[in-house]
Amino acid sequence: MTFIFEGERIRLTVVSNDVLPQFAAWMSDFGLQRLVNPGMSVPHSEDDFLDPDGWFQGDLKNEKTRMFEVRTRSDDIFIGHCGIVNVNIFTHSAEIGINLAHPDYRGKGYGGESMRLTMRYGFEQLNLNRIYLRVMSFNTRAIRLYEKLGFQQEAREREVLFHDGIYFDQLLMGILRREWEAVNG
Amino acid sequence: MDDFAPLKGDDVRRGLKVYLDSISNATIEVLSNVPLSESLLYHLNDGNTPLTPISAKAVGQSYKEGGKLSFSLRLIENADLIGFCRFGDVGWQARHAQLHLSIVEEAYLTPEIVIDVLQTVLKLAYWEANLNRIAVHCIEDNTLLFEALKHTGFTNEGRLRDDVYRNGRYLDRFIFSILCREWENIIG
Repeated sequence: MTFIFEGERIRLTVVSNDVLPQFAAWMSDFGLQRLVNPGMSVPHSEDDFLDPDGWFQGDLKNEKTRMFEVRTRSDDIFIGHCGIVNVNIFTHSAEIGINLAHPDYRGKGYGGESMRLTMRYGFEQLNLNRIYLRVMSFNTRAIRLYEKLGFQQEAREREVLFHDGIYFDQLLMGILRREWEAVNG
Repeated sequence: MDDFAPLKGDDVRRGLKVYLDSISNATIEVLSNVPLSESLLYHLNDGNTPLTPISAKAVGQSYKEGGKLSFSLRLIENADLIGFCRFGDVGWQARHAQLHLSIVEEAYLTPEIVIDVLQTVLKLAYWEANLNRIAVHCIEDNTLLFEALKHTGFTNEGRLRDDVYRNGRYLDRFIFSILCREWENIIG
């Protein structure tokens, strides 16, 4: 059996504060924010992520969250975060999220590998029955990836996002444990 | 749609049968501490937490703590308190909200009342709160709410599979919504 936190090219590690100033700089990129932030686009400082009472550190401490750093195996470069949030221990469902913020590592298959590891962690370690995600309807590259990973589009929330003076839809996608097992044994 | 034909300038808090009122401590105090009936518990449970023997008073308290956009539901004919509603997850950027609705008097868990509550809440949401989208989540076994939403003109946007666990099995959760322009087209 392979180590649960290691893929072919990446590994999932504990989130450290050391990388957060770099992460904040990446996250201030307008184009990236459009793809990963459904809310209002705002510039970020490292304080947003380091503040012990802020949302990011709060998420890390939250029992319903399992967040990881994504690092390359070959040279241990930090390329982003991936994790499970909003774990519901009653329905055994949770949301998955990924943000490969490093501009040099987007669109090269690292996202899919990170997602597969995190999904396996969710189903095989957290004993989840359902993993879902939200994605903006215009993020077609991400939607194709999620479909390839086995997620099905379950709902389309109309006009729930607003950017650049235009309303956009948000897709809710989900995969069930039995569907995951059918493909991954 | 039925006799519901609101006009701008009407009291946005009043429907045909019900009206929206504030939730005061006195409002909650008149409610019973006795656990609600099984059918009401199913109606009230959102599927995110296990079924719990909750009382009408506890339901009222939870809505009171739900913020400014929480209301009690009263009958126009005699001012009897029959339930609560509130707007949650308000997104001011896209002007959307999710409606939570709880009837605590079993005699009023009827299509007529639920549809009137939905219509009244939409009037307030669109003509007073200036929202653009109202969503309602509906568990697949809640036939009354499902039909009331369709009757009021809500669009079924999809179903979240196995999103609810109840009585030893998984159920799906439907997401419904109606946009301001859709509602205004329906009411003429």
